[in-house]
Amino acid sequence: MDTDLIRFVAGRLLQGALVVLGVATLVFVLLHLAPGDPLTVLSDAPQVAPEALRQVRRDFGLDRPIGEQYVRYLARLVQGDLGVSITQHRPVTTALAGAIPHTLLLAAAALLVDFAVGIGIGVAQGRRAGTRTDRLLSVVTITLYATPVFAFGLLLLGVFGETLGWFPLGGSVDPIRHAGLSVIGRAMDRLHHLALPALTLGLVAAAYTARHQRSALLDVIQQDFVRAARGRGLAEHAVLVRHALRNALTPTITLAGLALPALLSGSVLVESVFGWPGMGRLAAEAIGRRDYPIVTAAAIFAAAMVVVGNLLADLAARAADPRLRSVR
Amino acid sequence: MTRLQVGSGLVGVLLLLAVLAPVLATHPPHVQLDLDALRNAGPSLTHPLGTDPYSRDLLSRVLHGARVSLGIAVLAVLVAVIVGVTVGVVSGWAGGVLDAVLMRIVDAALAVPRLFTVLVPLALWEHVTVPAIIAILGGTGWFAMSRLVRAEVRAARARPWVAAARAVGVPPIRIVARHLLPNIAGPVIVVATMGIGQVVLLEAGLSYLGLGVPQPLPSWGSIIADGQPVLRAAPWVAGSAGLALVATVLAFTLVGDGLRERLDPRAS
Repeated sequence: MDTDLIRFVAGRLLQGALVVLGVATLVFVLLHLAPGDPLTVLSDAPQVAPEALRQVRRDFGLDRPIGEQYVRYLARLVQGDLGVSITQHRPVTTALAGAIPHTLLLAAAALLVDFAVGIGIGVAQGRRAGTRTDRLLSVVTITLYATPVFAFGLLLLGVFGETLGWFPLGGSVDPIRHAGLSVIGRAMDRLHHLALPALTLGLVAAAYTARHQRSALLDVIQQDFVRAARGRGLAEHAVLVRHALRNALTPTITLAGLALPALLSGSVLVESVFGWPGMGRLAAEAIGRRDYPIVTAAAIFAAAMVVVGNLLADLAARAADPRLRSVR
Repeated sequence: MTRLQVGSGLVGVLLLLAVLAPVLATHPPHVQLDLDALRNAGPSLTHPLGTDPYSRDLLSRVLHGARVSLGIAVLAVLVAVIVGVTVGVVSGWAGGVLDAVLMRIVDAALAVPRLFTVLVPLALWEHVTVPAIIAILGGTGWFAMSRLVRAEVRAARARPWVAAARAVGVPPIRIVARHLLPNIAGPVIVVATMGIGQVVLLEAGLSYLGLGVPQPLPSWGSIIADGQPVLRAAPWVAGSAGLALVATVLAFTLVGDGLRERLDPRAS
């Protein structure tokens, strides 16, 4: 490993930690700017004695000065203590541990669909730009691009789930059969449940990737080295794959890291459509129910994923384009 | 027909439908007509798009939904344009530390998916009203705009005619208003047009999650949410609002694409 790379990653991780700290602070400030505290709702209820409320406030440290609360909040965060969910009555870390793997699985599968389909369509269009096929595919991608991801999910759910019955209607596994299945059976069961949400998220994202890939390939095809390769009498296929595509893929690869946060934001909606038990649904429900410890944790998770995504994008770009390796 | 023509035609029709919704709608959008006999009814002459699970006339809801969704989107983008152009002009004109700080903030904000930046204030707002939604959607939509304006202002600032105007003592505000803004109007309009489509999508997503436009105001997103439990029995509920959404976002994207091509023919 070259030291340049290690230094680059270390620097970016340090920056990332600062960003996450910034987001944690921002959420804390916004929470405390809002009138009242999590217990304000209770103080309207006549059956709750004021003395009991004071006791709870003391227990949770809500009666301390705001500076002290902030320091305690950060100290707990650093120790990995995210508090207790108000509506689920369990530690936030437990809720996250259950949800995060589901979301990462969904995002990874969607990323695969996104790039396989997006690059495929983009290249198919770019190599025969201006033809009827190109125009037809453009109509498809621009329509998909304009489709709300949750509406597309419902369409797939309605057609392939409810009407044709090919796929389950929601959840991440079959609640009754899953436990009794073999290892392979369980994996198949999970894939079966994963298919529609991953296709929903991946295909909508692929519309963007395809538009991007098409114009990247068109840019490269017009350049001199491609004309030179053609002039040398290379087969069109070799020109395309070995010369044009290799260069035209670089901007798309850079997209991959940036696609991660975008897919995660899309998963907030897709998980709600399919009842997929991940971070997105957890966060959406927590927001609806004002479950602040979960909202805080979800915001921090989102910030961390944005940092990781950007780092991956930079690393991918450096791997694909040696000229960037000297840049810190 | 070019994309621009198809898009502007569609936008025109949609705006017309939104403006005329109170005239065109056959029923008030939130009146429950007959909970016993008229739930999830299919399309008919009296209810051209059928009724929803709460026995409300769907055509009227979708038409009024156009008003709500487009109204919010246009106003939010207006907020975004005002903030984005102001920040961009200040940043580009002032340069130095102020420019560096503003653009670092914009960089950070651009790295975060918009749904996240929108959800955080929504989560902390007690009762989300329509003006609050407009403020949140507009307040998170100006980052790319400010970058664009800043770049144009910086480029223009170096031009001889701006130097000449400064030399003869024209105040900066006047130079910006009379000489710079007219020159950057084109790209700003392109970004704003695309922005309307994006805000329509975003607001629909929020309303679908129940975090956007408060009930019983009809929003396309909440109509789709109403239709989800009866997807099979009454596909027209989610379907009509879904089609309206796709048509709207498509229309604004086509106009944005078309305008960009007009302004910069090489970019296509």
